[in-house]
This record gives sequence, C-alpha cells and structure tokens, in this order.
Amino acid sequence: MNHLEKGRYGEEIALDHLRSLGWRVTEKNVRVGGGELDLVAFDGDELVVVEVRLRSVGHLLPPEDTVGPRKLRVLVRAGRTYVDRIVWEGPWRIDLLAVTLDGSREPQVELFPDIAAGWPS
Amino acid sequence: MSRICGVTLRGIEAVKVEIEVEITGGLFAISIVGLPDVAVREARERIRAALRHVGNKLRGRISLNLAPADLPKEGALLDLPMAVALAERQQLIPPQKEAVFLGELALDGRLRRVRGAVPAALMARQAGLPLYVPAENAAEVALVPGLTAYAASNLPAVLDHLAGKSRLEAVAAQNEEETSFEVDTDLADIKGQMAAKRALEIAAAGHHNVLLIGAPGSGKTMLAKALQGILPPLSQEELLEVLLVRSTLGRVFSGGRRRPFRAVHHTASAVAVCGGGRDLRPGEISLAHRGVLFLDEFTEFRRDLLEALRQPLEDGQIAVSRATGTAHYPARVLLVCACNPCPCGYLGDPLVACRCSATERERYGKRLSGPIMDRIDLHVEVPRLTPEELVGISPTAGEKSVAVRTRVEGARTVQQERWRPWGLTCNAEVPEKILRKTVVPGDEVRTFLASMARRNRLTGRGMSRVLRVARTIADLAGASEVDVGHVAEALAYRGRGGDPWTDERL
Amino acid sequence: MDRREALILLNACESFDGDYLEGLRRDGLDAVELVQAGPSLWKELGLTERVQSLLSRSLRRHWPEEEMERCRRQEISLVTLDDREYPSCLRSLPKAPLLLYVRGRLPSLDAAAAIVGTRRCSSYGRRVAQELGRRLSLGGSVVVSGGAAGIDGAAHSGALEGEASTIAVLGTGVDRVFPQGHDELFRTIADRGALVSEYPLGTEARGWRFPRRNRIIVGLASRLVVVEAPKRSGAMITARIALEASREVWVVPGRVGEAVCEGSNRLLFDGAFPLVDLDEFVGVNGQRQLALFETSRAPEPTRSLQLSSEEKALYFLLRDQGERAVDNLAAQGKMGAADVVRILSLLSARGLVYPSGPGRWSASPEL
Repeated sequence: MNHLEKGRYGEEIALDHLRSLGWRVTEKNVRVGGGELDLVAFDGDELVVVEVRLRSVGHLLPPEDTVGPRKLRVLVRAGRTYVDRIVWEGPWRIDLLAVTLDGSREPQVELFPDIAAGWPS
Repeated sequence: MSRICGVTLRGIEAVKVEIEVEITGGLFAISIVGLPDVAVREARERIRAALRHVGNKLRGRISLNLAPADLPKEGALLDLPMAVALAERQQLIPPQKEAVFLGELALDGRLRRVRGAVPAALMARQAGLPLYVPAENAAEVALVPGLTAYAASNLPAVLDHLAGKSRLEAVAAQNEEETSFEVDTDLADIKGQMAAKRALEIAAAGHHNVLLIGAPGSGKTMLAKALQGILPPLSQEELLEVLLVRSTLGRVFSGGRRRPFRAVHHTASAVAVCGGGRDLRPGEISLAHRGVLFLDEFTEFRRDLLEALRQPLEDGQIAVSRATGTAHYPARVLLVCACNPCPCGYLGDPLVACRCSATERERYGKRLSGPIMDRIDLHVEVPRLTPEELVGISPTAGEKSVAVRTRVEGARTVQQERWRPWGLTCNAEVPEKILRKTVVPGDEVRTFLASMARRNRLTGRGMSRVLRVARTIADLAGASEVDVGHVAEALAYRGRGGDPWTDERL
Repeated sequence: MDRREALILLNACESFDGDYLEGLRRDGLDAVELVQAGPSLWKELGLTERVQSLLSRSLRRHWPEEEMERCRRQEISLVTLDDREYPSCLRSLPKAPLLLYVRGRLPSLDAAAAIVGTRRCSSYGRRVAQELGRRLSLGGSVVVSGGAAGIDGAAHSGALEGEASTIAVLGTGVDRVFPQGHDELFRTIADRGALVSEYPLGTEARGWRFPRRNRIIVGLASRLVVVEAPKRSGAMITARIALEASREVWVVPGRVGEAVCEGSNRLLFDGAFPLVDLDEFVGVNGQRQLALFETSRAPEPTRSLQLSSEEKALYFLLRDQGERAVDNLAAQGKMGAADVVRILSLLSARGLVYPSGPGRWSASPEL
C-alpha cells in the first residue's frame, strides 16, 4: 500500500465509524479556499467538519497530536468558508478522527470532538 | 428577557447585574461583554467545564451581556449566574423568575466561596429577590434577616432546584442572639496599671480615642487589646455593618458580637490602612469599623498616612477614589495609639536611664502633635512597674472585663438618651458647639476649669476635650451634673500637647 | 571710626576682652588705633591670621555701622565697657566682655543669683530650679541663667512667676532662639528682663560658645546655685569660674550614684555651700529677709490644712515615701484608680504633687 492507498483506506474506516455513530455523512474531500475538508457530517442538528488523521503504529506522535495550531487555523478558515457556501446557520464544530493502523490487527479509531473549542471565530 | 441576576461590588455596595444570553450558530465560542475584568472573562472556561460536568454541551456562538453595560464587573462571583442563564437558555431548566445568584464555579461544578455575599444579600433583600449562594457563604448570609436565601454546594444542585427536581434547603436566618462573647485579653489578666485601665473604661464609655504613653514592656499592647473586651457588644445593625466589610474582603466571619480589633504596623501602606487599590478594597480602618484601630509605635507612622486617617476619623467613613470610580467605606473606629515617652523609651523610668538628648526629646515631642492628636481625648501614661512595685499591689485588685463592660454599657445608654435629639450617640462625637451649649457646669466647676486653663495653657479646644471627658466620667458615675472631681480626673488625661515629657505639668 | 565701633568690631572677633584692652591701654594704645593700625601692626601685636583677616574684611564692609543699624532696628541695645549701664560687677571680672547685646532692659543687679544646671535634668531638679527661681524673684532677687533647656529654662520660668526680673545669658546672638522650644520663654524674658549676649546678631549655636558665655552668668550674679550637674558639664565650668571670681557657690544636694548630680555633689565635697532650705537661701542675702523667715518657719504648711482626708492621705504618702505609681497609691491608700487619679489631679492643681514619670507621681518638694 502506498501512502495514497493508505489514505483512502483510512477514510473508509473513518466513514464506517461515523456511520456506526449514527451520523449522516454528506461530503468527502471538499476543497474550499486553501484547504481540504476530509469529511463533512451531521451529528444530529450540528454540522461537523471531520479531520481524519492516519498513522501507523511505531510513529513517534499519536495521530491526535499531529494537528497543530497552524493546521487548526486553516481548518477553521476552511470550515467557515464551507458553512458560508452551503448557507448553514446552525452550530458547527470541528472533530478530529484518529485512525491507527497496526499491520494485520483491527485498526483503532478514536474521535476527538470540538478541537477548535475556544478558538476565536 | 432574562431574569437571572448576579452582582458586582462597588465599594461595599452590591450592584445588580442582569445576565443576557444569546446563542447563534457557528463554531463554538463564548464572548462576554459589559466591561468584564479578567476574572469574569476567564469565567467562560469554568462555566463550560462546569456545564459539561452536568452533561450539557455548549455549542454555537454564545454571547453573554452583563447589564448595565457601563459598570465595570469584577470577580468570579458572576460564574454561577452566567452558568444558570446559559442553562436556562438551553432549556435545561424551565424559564425562571427573577433571582440573584452568586458563586465561583470549580471545573467539576462545585461552588466556591466568594467575597461580597453580605452586600449581595442586602441588595437581594432590598429588591425582594431570592438569593442563591455557595454553601460556604451560608453562615454570613444567615445573619442577614428578612431574606430568602438558598445555599448550594454545586451547580447541579442549583439547577435541580430550579428545575423543580429537588429542593434546596432555605438558609435559616440566624440571629446572633448571643450578646456575651469571649474576651481575648481580660483586664483582670493585666497586673497593675489601674490608672490605664480606668482610662480605657472612660474611652470605652464615651468612645474617646486614646494615646498610651509608656516605656517598652510596660504593657501598652495588652491594654489596647483589652479595650476590645470592655466595649459593649455590637448591635444588630452594627453587626451587619461589620459583616458587610468583612464579606466584601471575603473574610470569614467570627467573633459573634465582639467588636473588631485591628492593629496596624507603621510600615503599612496608605492603601492597606485606608483602602483602595486597583479593585477598591476596604482597608484596615474599615475592617476596624465599629471596633478598635490600634496604631502601635505611633510616632513612627509617616505623616502622610496620619494625614490620610484624619478625614475618616472625623466623618466615620472613608471615600476612596480610583479611575474605576469612588467607593465609600464605613470607618467609625475607636482609635488607640501607643508610643514611647521618648526616642529611647525610658524617660522617667525608675530602673533604666533615658539616653536621649534634650533636642531629641523635643523633636520626638513634636511628632506627638498634628493631624491625629487633636482627635485624641485621653492621654494615658503607662508606667513600667518595678518588681517591688508589683509586689506591693494586692493580687485581688483586678476587675474582670465583663464587670467593666456592664458599667460602660450603662454609661452608653445614658449618652444615647441625652444626645438623641442631635442624632448623636456618644460624648466623643459631640461637636464643640453643642457641647458648650449642653454641658454647662456649675460656678464652682467653671472657676476651677478657668484657673486650670490658665495654669496649663489650655486652649479652647483643649477645654472642650476636658469637658467632654468629664461628661463621660460623670456618666460612668451616674451623675447628672459634672462636678469638680470629674473635671479634675479628666484633666489628668489631657496630655501635654506635644511638649516633651514632664516639662509642663509642674 | 569711633571707639564704640572699634569695640563692636573687636568684640566680634571673639578673642579680645577687658583684660586685653587694659593691657593695650597701659601700652598707650587705644582700641580705635588698634583697629586702624592695619595688617603690619596687627601682625606685630601677635594677632592671629583669622583675626587679622576678619578685621580687614569687616572694615572694608563697614560692618560695625551695619551692626549698629541692625540693633537699632530690632531695638537691641549695645552696652560697651565704657558705658555707664555696663554692670560694674561684670567689669571686675577677669576677661570681661567688651560689650553686651541686650534685648530688653538690664535690671539693677544688687542681689542677683545665678541658677545653672544640666539640660538633661531630672524632674526633681527642674522642680527645684523653678521653685528656687520663683522664691528668689518673690524675694526681689534677679535670677540669672543661661536660657538653655532643663534647669536654666525652669529657673527662668520660675523667676517669671515672681516679681523681680530675670536675665538669660545666651550663647547665640540675642536675635536667635536656642533651643527651639524657647521662643515664648525668650519673648517673656525680653519683656520682663533681659536677653544678654556678647555675640553679634545672627550668631548660631556652637558648642564652644556656651562655656565662654558662662563667665558672664557668673559675672552678673553675686551667688551661683548649681542644681544638677553631671561630672563633665557646662554647669561645672561655671562653678569653677565662680570660685575663681570669688563668688559664693551653692549646690542643691542630689542623690548619691545618680549621674545627673555626680558633679554637683562633688562640688559639695569640695566645699561649696549645700543648699538645704530654699527660703533660708533666699533670706541670707535677700531684701525681705525677715518676712520670709517668719513664713518659712510656720510648723505645718498652711496650704495642707484645706485638704480633704483623702487628699491628705495621698499627699502624705507621696511626701513621706517618695515617688509612687498610681497602682501603689491605690493599694496603699485603699482607693480605686479613678479616685487616685482625681485626687492627684486636684493636688497637682494646687502644686502639691507633680508627675515625675509615666504614671508616677511625687510630692512637690516642700522647699
């Protein structure tokens, strides 16, 4: 598996996970402004921008730590442009979905909600 | 329209703050407007964490407006009303009737003790609103009668109560009926010093400010502390005033109806003594309100500090102004000053020779004049007793503070009766004009006073002071008229007006 | 330049006196000639550099005229050695001052007594000095002292209670007040007696000037009383000058072992007269000798007869046992503190007792 295939594989896993949570996934890989939104879903009446992070075991950083403030700023800007574009006026948030691949074993999935909380908007 | 209110303090006054909430869509954010200080702004983290702890997730853009918008808001005591307002807005609880909330939130939803509970209680009482306070503030709020108050130890308890799921117990009004109180330093514990004790009794009876002059180790501090024990207990009204200041500073209330005693060191800053600072807090003089303010080493105090004390001593309150506004604090204190008789402290001592030069003594004497001295009615000399002298005093001579207090209370009642038409309560407060008109001694007394005035170069103001003290002495004796004996005793406490010691009174 | 101006100028140098002038006269030289002689002769006469430069500077500035003008403006009279008003008793003194600045009026000095003592006196010493001053003044004697704090001040204020005049001999210019607190005292003395100094106007207080002025105190009085003097003190210097000038030296005995009267007691040992009875002292030389003897010989002071029994009790306790704290008076007199304080105040109103320390009282000496 090259890294592109790996990415697609990770997104598959993420998609499955969100569906299993009962969310309604509306878009995949949306290009907005200078960034890309991996997944857009609805958790009930709240719009959620999901950033999917994929890592293999053995990497130094756990996946949730790979989103730094600069990446977060890009996400917030892209998210804002997106909700403007689709004219969404309800609450929205940004979640991080960490997928860890461990060779032949079941991939591990973890959801970190509202990673931009307290971010000035 | 939200009916959830909080308070913010302006001086010792609590001002009602209405909390308005708006939640719109968007990425989660809380903004607080209405001149919040840093503590209020940081409340968003505490509120969010506390609400999450009760299972409520905030989302969208949240605006909190604290009205009136032009009043600066300070402190963490607005945490609870903001959290309740948010809960109401998110329909965690049904729409509420108007109520006042105060409390600081911990991240896990517990409520922490805040300063300003008593001012808030008075405000709520006046507005006829129920009050919700942290459990730790319940004791002080209980002392405010005629108020519906609820104390809770955490946010869920408050929300459950408001949602009608469970009831909070109303704080039972607790009347501090106990008029007797424990005496820290009893007069009976001080050996000898009868003259000084007597002077303290007069001071307590007429609310006269006192200066204690004596060598180091003569027991001035003990005597000053003992004054607390012979003052009458605080009245209900006075108790509330004392409570108000303490609560504004967030101090735990204790001591029941015993009057406060505050000792100030001469290195203290003017702000610490008079109040003020960035957040306009009351100072020591206000903490000593209705009690005793003790200035030890009086001659060491900086002139500007004494100058700053003059106005509150006259007005019974102190106005502190800062850019954020002006606050008035109560400051009706009984002032007790103590100093050495000379720079080395041993002038006139039977055992230790004084090492000061005449010039040094003179300079020292000059420090005993000025802004505060003309507010001091009683000058009391405290001898350092030699071992032989101590042996010569009978061991049963000491009277308990309680016994003295009874006499003091009697004399105070008489004074209150007398001065009621003028709206005054004690002899020391009586202005010179009224005093001269009402305390008219007989011919014999007048002749005596006049001759003493000549002899001792007493000024008119000095005469009034003697007369005022004599009136108190007469009140203690239950006499309706001031006689020569009363005046004679009063003269013994008149002091030397800044002259170096032993000079004048030959 | 007249002789008066010359004297004013020479006096200001603080190194000439009556004896020097007399020597000069014997050499056929006058004060005016001395002043006008110029540097070469001054040097020959052995005047110091300091004096020489002072003289020439002052001459250039016409200082003597200015000084006289200043005195006129401030109503200060200048009494020179040549004047009739110059006290004769002073003239006979060795090193008599060339002139005196006088603020007020010099009284006649027939029966003047000087009272001196330490500035850091005990309250007892102060009390004695004042009472002595008063009695002397009532007896018609002029009281001379140094205008300083302590004994001097007490002696002056006592004298002012009486009828006679008092003279304060200052170690500063007569237009200065030293020590600071004595403004009012000095004003009264100038009114009722005289402030005297040999120092030019504006001279500030310096330690060395005070012993020098002591000779004038001695010169003006026929008798000297030392009330309290530690071993090394100005009062001791004064006593020595008085002995040299063959004036009577009287000493108020003090307690053994107290530093404040160590020197004065030593004078007693050396043969000074002990002053054991004020009236007797006043009477020995006073003008109202007989009358005073009669009153002072009354067996019991009449004033104590009007005392209440409580007042008597406390007064006699203090008189017989010495200084007492209020506590002890209360215990011994079996009274409450309020009563004790009241009675002490009444007694002190009559001058029978006085506070001798913080919270301590003593009976006024029955002098």
